[in-house]
Amino acid sequence: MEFLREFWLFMRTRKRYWLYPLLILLLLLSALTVLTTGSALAPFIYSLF
Amino acid sequence: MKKRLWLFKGLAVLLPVLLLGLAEGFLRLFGYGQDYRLFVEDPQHNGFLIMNQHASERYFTETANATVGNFEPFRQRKADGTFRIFVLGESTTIGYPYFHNGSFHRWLHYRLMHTFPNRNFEIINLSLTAVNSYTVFGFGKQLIDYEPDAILIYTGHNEYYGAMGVGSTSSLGGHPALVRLVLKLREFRLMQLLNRMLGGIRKTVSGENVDLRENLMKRMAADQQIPYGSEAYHQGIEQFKTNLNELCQLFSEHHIPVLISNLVSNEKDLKPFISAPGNAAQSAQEQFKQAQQAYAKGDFKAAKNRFVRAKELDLLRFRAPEAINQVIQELTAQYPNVTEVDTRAVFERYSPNGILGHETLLEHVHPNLYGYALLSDAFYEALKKRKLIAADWTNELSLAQLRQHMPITSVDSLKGVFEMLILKEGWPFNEPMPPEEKRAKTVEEQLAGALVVKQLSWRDAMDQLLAHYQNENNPQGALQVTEALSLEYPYDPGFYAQAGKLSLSLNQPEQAVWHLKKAFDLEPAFPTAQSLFISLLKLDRPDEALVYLRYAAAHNETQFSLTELQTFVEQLVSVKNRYLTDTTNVALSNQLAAGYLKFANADGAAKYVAKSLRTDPRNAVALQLKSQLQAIKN
Repeated sequence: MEFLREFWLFMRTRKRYWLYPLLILLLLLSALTVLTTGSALAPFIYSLF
Repeated sequence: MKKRLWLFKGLAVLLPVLLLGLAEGFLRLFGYGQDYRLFVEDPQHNGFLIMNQHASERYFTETANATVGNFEPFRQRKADGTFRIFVLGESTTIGYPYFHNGSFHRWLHYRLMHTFPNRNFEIINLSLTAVNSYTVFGFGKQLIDYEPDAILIYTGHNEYYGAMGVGSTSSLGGHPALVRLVLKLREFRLMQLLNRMLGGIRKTVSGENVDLRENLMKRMAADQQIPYGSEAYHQGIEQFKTNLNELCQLFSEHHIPVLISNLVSNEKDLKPFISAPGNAAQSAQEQFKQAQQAYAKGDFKAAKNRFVRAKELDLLRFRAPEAINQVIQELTAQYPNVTEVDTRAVFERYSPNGILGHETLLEHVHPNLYGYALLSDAFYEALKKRKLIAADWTNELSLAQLRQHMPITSVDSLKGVFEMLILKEGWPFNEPMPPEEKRAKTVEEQLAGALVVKQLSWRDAMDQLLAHYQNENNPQGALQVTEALSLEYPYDPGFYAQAGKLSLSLNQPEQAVWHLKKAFDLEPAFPTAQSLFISLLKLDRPDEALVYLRYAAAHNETQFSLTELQTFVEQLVSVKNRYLTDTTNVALSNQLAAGYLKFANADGAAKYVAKSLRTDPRNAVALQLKSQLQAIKN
């Protein structure tokens, strides 16, 4: 119990240790999604084949 | 204390993974997103699988753009003696613009079924329009567990502009490893949620309505130009090579035979879409003009070279460059289980002066019905050469017979014509539609028109066409439609039984037996067995008739006893077996003739009377049987 309480305290005060990796991970995933998006032309071209 | 601090730091860094895992779990628990696996259980056929309608969504940024393919059911547990083929590829592979029985795999299926009537074939086409080697790779690697006997591949034309292709994807299109990572990540519901959120933001920023104006499309297409030898050009080839190589390697490790076709495209009857200005050697338009001049002069070798060069230089890469065919050739040299299907050679053989054009192709890449028959022939010959199905192919249906008998209805054919008129009216063809003829449309034209604009489903169009032929008392037309339906729905015994009846009414007993056997195999029933043993006795195949006669006797639905007939046929089989080892024995041929005569089978009796009289023209018994036969006929 003591361990968990201390860990919670640590998380509240040192947000960068868990919040930053979470943000970085989400940003990376978003970047990958955006960079592999189909071009605006794609839907028109798709109808050709 | 320091130790504990490090432990907390480690746990804190791991927390995001845990949080994302929890979010993924919640999304799955509440049914958000889609399962992208290739096959799902067929809700209409117990024990069968079909292609998952959401499987393609993984490859399209906007799921609304995702194309849907065929839903061809196959048994979850492969039945003994079944030859299972999976087909992978793009729009040509699925038979655009005809689809259904226009597709090459259906021509191949029909031919194989008639060449090997006692084998069961499952040909499952997993091709989709607008996809390229990423989808072929993604689908292909999931096939290992489904016991394929062969994989057929026709792909490459969509490499640049197909889903996730280098010409249709924003920035990372040229990096196969990253694209594959994204495709893998899209399996996660969290990634699907992220994709949808980003799509929503994109739409809000760019405005909800997509501008369909031609100028806009032209401008965007200009941004997508891929010059010959450019970085994007090479990235497209590399993307194709990477995906196909890994797929061939995987199939090779599992000893699965792969037949991969080289690609065909229009050479002489399609001018380049976009040509670079200036320098004649680099201008697709100039090369095309020179090719036409060489063709007019009869210099076909030079014409061919320049037509191909024009295609290579076309900046709008809707036709695969020659380098793609080169990759295919290299793969077949690298992997012993991979065979090159030389479709190009087949098309060249059937094209004037070996130059591909409108004789076999509708526009830039899609074959016409003749072309699809040729494409099926190329695969058929490759299967034969590899002796994959059997060593003996002597009773085969020839290409000419296939073209004559393949059940392509007028509606299927017209649908292709209408679809082409619509396609060519728009960018990048811009060919105005011919004025509408001022005459009443035929039923076939009306149905094809409704089919093109999606007012009718293919099934409804066929049902209405069948009803029309039945009303018109056109059994030949009705038989063609019924055969088309049986090819589309191979597990429905009703269509085979109906085709059998129609064949009998048209006095085509061989064809009737073929259909009725299929119906009986799927669903044994007394009426089918009865039609079968009668037809088989007429065809002098008593040993085959006996199987169905026994079934009919055991499930007799009439008041007449079949026991006497069964005893007679058993004797007939015994006499015939003796006769087959001693074909000059007149006593035996007379016995067979008399037997058939007893049950008023004039055709069977006449056959053996003729055989007796050929051996002994004065044989009294045979002469007497002949006069009895004539009396029956009179």
